Amino acid sequence: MRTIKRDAPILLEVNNLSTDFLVAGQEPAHALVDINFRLREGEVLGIVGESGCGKTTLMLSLMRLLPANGRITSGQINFMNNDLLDLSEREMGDVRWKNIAMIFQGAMNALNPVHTVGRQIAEAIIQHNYITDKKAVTDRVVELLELVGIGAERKDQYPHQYSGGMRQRAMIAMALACNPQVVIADEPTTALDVMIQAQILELLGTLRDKLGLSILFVTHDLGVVAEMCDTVLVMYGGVTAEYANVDTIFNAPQHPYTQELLRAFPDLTKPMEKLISIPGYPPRLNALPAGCRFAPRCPHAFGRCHVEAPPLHGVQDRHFASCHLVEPESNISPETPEFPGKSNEL
Amino acid sequence: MSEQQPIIELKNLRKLFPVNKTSLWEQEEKFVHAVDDVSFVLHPGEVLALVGESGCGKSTLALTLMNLETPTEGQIFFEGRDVTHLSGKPLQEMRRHIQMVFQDPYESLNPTMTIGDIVAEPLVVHRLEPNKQARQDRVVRALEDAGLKPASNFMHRYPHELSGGQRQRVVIAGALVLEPKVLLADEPVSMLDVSIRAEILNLLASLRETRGISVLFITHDLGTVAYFADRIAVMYLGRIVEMGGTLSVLERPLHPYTKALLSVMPVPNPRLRRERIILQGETPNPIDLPSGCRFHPRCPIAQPHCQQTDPAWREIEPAHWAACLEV
Ligand SMILES: Nc1ncnc2c1ncn2[C@@H]1O[C@H](COP(=O)(O)OP(=O)(O)OP(=O)(O)O)[C@@H](O)[C@H]1O
Ligand SMILES: Nc1ncnc2c1ncn2[C@@H]1O[C@H](COP(=O)(O)OP(=O)(O)OP(=O)(O)O)[C@@H](O)[C@H]1O
Ligand code: SF4
Ligand SMILES: [Mg+2]
Ligand SMILES: [Mg+2]
Repeated sequence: MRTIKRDAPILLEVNNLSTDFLVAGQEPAHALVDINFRLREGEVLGIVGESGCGKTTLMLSLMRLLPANGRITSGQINFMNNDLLDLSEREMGDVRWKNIAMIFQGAMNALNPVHTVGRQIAEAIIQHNYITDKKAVTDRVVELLELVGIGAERKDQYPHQYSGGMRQRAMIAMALACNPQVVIADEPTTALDVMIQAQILELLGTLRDKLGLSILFVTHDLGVVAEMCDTVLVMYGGVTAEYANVDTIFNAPQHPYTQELLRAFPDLTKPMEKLISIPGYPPRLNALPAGCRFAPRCPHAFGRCHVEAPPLHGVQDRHFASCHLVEPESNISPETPEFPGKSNEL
Repeated sequence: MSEQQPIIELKNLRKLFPVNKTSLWEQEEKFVHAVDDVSFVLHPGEVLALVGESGCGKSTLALTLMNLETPTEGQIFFEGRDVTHLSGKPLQEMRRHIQMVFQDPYESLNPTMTIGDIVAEPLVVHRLEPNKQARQDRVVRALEDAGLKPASNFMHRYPHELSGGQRQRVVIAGALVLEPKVLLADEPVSMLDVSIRAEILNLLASLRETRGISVLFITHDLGTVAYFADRIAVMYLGRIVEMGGTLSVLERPLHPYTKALLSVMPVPNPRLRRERIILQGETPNPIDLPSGCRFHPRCPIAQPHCQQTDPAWREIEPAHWAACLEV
């Protein structure tokens, strides 16, 4: 298994990030509450959880691309020692391509059908002044397409002439246009076939190794997380359920939600083992339960769970879980960050 | 099980779609070989999984089986009777016994109808149960067998008032209400969230016990079939390349395509990260089929003779078949 350096420099540090959605005539919906994580150079951090748990909202908050009714209400997003929340809109516009680029959920259908793929990538390069010389732009387009395994001869084709897998590769090429350090990939393989998915995952792994990219990988597929990620943040109803390195999440999970998710996930290596579905559904933001957000579905819930929200406890070095049943080592505070930063380390 | 009469049997089934000629000068007529010489049996109460990449012909096979597409060649038997060319009333009658559950519970439910009316509709269409009370009883039973209990809680609601998993259950109830003998489930869970997926898979598995239904489960995800299919059939470019008991196929795959598919299935355990056999490119276009073995251009173990000889379908181990020259 690949390992990254435990003390690799921290690129992105998110502290107590909270986001609300304002809905006319209603209390604001608390879509994210006190999210914390660190992303190191060359690290792949997986963000997992059921539909509606806030994965996309977290990514859009980081990019400051929330829809008009979304508000970041607290926290910091430190990128190489600058708080992104302090930047002007123009400065943030630059960060978006040159430092942190995002591949949006369902993006492969978002290519403009009337322009060639090559032209769309070229426009991204020019618009952000990454390169201005015309010849150099074309060279860069070819270089990017080849990086993602698309032959240069296909740059003048239109999106409809590409297959789904190739369109997704083109979106990855576009995200890399201005050489960012961090790529956010929101469900980049969800609509794809297994073999094409394997090709895309291999590509992202190669890019991480070749370019030293850090990746925030959003998915609800636990198999993909186990395959790709160094560290994992499990979200539930807008809060962190558990945060640890990938081996801990899969082999020594502490939060009941992580445990239940794993039992519900079909595993090819354990055929004939019964799947245990989690009863009930994730909470709706306008009808959040008092206490622990998972309590109504939790097999271990007891009295206190229904009245008091559990804080995020440090379970062990670089392992955090928000559950009353977890033996806390200490309460997490942004001043004493000890976050997982290396795969395969228990 | 093999002594029983199969509920469905396919013999050398072929479905070709003519391709529009792109120029007047084109000599031969061209065809998409969507299903190309497929034979198998489905036994009563059996779950057979049909697995393969996008475009390999899984849905076409299911539609042909339902008589919604006319087969180009071959025969379909239902309970031993040749139903390949049925039409009119006998076809209607047969269709009732083979019901299909599609993907995407969001699009297949009419938003203006109540759940009760949606599930009752197939009975009306097939002119079954004209008695209102009897009809109601069947709807209740279908909803409850699909796990929507008590049915009275759901009958009067509209689709938008249900969650994704509940909607998929309504779709299944709509198929169950006709009391079919066979369920064709085409990617019924691939769009669903993990926990809902587990719930629907468990439901499909339990229908075999509660109703003795046979299920043909179509998917590109081997992980979801592993734990409840009795047998697995692997399809590549219109043809079945391997078929056998679930454990034999998963533990001792024979065909190089099956081995590749298995190797890329993400496994939820980081300690089991393995060497993956990633086939480059995509399933080739089924118009101009490769010569010899149709898998040879992507096959990691192809030999020169694979370009010439179309491999025969052989029983390599008892009840475990494959079509490959190199096994
Ligand atoms: N503009 C908005 N206004 C109000 N609520 C919103 C808005 N956008 C998202 N939400 C709500 O915020 C919650 C989190 O949504 P989000 O899209 O982040 O989930 P997700 O984890 O990405 O889900 P999925 O896996 O389905 O993509 C959901 O309950 C959603 O309904
Ligand atoms: N009505 C049609 N006319 C022409 N070609 C068709 C028709 N229906 C299907 N095809 C072609 O037949 C082949 C098999 O398609 P089919 O939909 O059966 O694949 P599938 O295995 O179900 O794929 P997926 O996993 O994407 O659903 C494809 O190449 C498809 O383009
Ligand atoms: S705090 Fe209680 S309800 Fe929440 S996960 Fe832990 S045991 Fe379950
Ligand atoms: Mg999302
Ligand atoms: Mg299909």
